[in-house]
Amino acid sequence: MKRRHFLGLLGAAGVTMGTGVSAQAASSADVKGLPNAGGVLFDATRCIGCRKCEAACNQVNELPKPAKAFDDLSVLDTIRRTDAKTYTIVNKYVPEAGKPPVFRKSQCNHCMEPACASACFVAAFKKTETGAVVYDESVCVGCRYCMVACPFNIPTYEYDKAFTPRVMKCTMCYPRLLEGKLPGCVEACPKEALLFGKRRELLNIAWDRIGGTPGRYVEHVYGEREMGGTSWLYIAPKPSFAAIGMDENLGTASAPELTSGALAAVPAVAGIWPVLLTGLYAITKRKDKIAEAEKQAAVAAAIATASADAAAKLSEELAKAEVANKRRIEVEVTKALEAAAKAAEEGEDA
Amino acid sequence: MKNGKRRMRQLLAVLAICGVGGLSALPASRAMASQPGSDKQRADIVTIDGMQAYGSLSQPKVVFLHDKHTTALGKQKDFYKKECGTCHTSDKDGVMQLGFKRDGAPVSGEKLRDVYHNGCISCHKDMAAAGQKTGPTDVQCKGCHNATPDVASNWQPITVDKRLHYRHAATQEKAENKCGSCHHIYSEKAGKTIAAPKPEDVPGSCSYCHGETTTVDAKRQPKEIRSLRLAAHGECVTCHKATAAAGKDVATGPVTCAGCHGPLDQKAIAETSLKKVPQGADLRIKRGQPDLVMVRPAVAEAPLIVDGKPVKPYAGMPAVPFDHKSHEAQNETCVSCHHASLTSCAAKCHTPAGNKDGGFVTLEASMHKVGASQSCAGCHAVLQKKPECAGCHDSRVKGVGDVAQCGSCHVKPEGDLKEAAAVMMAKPAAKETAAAEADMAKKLLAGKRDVTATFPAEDIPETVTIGSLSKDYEPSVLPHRKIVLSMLAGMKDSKLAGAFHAADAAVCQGCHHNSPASTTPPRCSNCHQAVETTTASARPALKAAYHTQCMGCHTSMGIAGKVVDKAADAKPVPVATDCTGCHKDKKK
Ligand code: SF4
Ligand code: SF4
Ligand code: SF4
Repeated sequence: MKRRHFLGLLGAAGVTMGTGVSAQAASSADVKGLPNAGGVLFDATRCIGCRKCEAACNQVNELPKPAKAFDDLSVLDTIRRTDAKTYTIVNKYVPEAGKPPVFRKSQCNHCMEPACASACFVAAFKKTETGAVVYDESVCVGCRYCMVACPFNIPTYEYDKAFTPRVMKCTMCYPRLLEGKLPGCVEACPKEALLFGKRRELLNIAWDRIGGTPGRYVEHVYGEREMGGTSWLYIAPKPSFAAIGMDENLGTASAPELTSGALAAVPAVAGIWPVLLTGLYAITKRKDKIAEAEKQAAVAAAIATASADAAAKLSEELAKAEVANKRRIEVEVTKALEAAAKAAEEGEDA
Repeated sequence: MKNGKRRMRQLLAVLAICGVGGLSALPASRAMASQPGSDKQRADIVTIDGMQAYGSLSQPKVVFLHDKHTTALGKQKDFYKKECGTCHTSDKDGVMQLGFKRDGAPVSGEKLRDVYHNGCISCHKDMAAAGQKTGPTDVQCKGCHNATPDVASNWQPITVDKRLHYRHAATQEKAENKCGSCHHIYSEKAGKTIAAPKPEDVPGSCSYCHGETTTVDAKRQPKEIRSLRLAAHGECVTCHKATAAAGKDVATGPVTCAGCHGPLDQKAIAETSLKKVPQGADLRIKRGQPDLVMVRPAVAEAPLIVDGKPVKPYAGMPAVPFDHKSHEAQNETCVSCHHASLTSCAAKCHTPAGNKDGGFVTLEASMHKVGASQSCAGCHAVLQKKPECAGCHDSRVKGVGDVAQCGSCHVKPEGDLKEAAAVMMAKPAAKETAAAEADMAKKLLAGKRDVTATFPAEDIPETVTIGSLSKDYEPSVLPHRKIVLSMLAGMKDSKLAGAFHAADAAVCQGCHHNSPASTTPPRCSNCHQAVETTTASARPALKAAYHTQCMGCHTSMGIAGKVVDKAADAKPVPVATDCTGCHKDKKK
């Protein structure tokens, strides 16, 4: 299990602390509860790598101008990732030497059960009815667990802002959606490589395209089930999604689901969690970037929110839990700590 | 025991990949010297893994280079006197066995191992003793059992195409039984295989009887039917060798692995064929096949009963008038279509309901299955992948999915032909004379085009300006007539294209798809909405429709970024991301 998955688990329980709502709130019940959630279907066989989507995103979100112009396609020669000034990027892949390249746009996938939201103990992230996963900077404490938790490496942080740095990620153009407009990138795409619509309808269209042109596509809709499903869906030409840099081994369990069982019922702040949180702060190389006071406040707030009988409940629940489940938690905790320590050693962003 | 025999047979088949000895020093190969390819890319790799039949291997497989051995031995005339017999034994009739140093009798695993170890190592040792360069002589397993050989196979199957068949037939022109020199049949009377007495007796391709593996037919003697591999090496190479040994000046075929299976040699064979076969020679392999024929669809046999009463008998689809001769000209071998035998597809295998012999592929599927290259629709779909076709056809439905196409093959008889066709189709196929069928087919095909045609050039708009969406860019001026004419030029040699683009507007429909065929097709925006909405639709909005259509075609045809026009001032066809290649930037 990857470190961020574990932190997803960790965070899933964390929701409880901030909101007092059970972690189950973000489970599959929610997905069924959003039958009309919107989404975007990205078709890699249509994308030509023109970067019009990147330009449009930059414009509609009023992001700073990049060093190289959007019509400079030499940018595609290196693989990039999203950053605090860039919500979306298009990368070029050459799955088969000598064959034409395949392009893939990446941005927040707007998970049906977002790991980022699960990891955030102040509930700064919310899955909305539109399908968009939105971020509320006014409650964010800057712990950046969302960044660690996201299985797609999406949220980024305004490190260069001394005051009120924010977590930055694609919003699915939530404000535009509310006005009945298309996301900026979707509107700008000259090839309809991006198609906005209701997620369930997009799934039909995706499968129709796969079935209608035998041999062209990988027989899979990426995001239909990955991590419990995402609102942004992908179809890609053969040979594979891995060939265009997508992780094919994420599994179908969502972040909150990974913690279901005894853990989900436990108010996270009690017992081991505060210890863990503090431990993680300690191994975060950039911890000094966060004001010490902020950290104290976060932990204090979290602990204060937990009910007085949390400790009692924890031991009771854990006792009830199957041995196997306990064992699993222990193993994951150990693994995650080891991985986090290693990452810290390597100087990676924790 | 039975099992052991079977295994042995498999083993022999494996061992015989290139199991026929052939020496490059023989006159035969002087006539057609094997071209030296890269040493690392070889057509003569024989993997010795026969021990697999007796359990898992304890050592890596041996990669044996057959041509390397025959060449080396050929150079050692003094040392080497037995030619192929050095490694291969022959039976009492002089027929050479293709396995290494043994006859076809079953052996135990240990014995087999010893045959190789003793045979290979002792020979290497003898040569070393005589001061010759040779292979591994010690018991260091690695010398032969190398898991990471530094050679790769470039072996490819060889097809006896029409020209090569013609060349072989020409050598037998004076023979009493021309076809029988190569083609044999099993004779019950003789209890063995005999030369096919008459051309009509030739069963067709070798592969009809000789399958991938050796098969057994208990009812005949000998019981075994050699695998194609054993049969081909046994017959072809032996004949090439014998011919070379017998006559001084007779050119003959290759006897080395690379000679037939090496890519460079195959190219040389094809070039020689082009030179040797006279211009305009009739390449048809004549064995009584028709020039024209009516292919009958399966017709429901019993009349349909409605409310207890028979209604008008179901007439079925019209039969397909089929130009067999023209299809022969387009294919290298009969096997392209007649993949299992030369009899009618429906006779034994692809019956209307399908049966075991035909892999349960029904008659209908055998003609229409797009994924099978032997079927009509399947082969046509393969041809549509050619760049000059792919521009339009990549995105179109293929095969029977496109029901508008049924009539292209199932030609509906009109006028006088109506009744004659009905009468003919009511009779069982065998009752009709070939001549009458050919005549009917000819009449039905008479209306077909040989070349694709469309409206007169002056009626095709020269340019079309696309500007309804113009915002950041100026309208795009499409060289409409030039596009149409260049597409026609791409099809000018295709009779197939002519037959299928029956109407003048057919070519237009590559772009003006799904719309009524006319010289004034509806505007794209009639179907493709100009404004993208938040409601997803499978039908692209106008902007994407234009871009997908133009760019998709340029990509499929492989012309994006290339100058296709011959004119001096011609510009290359814009690549997908070259916006200003199609419409000028407004800001400038
Ligand atoms: S992709 Fe990452 S940031 Fe986006 S919703 Fe999913 S977990 Fe959150
Ligand atoms: S949906 Fe909006 S925020 Fe997200 S990548 Fe597209 S334009 Fe940017
Ligand atoms: S605008 Fe569309 S075609 Fe261009 S890079 Fe973005 S997704 Fe691909």
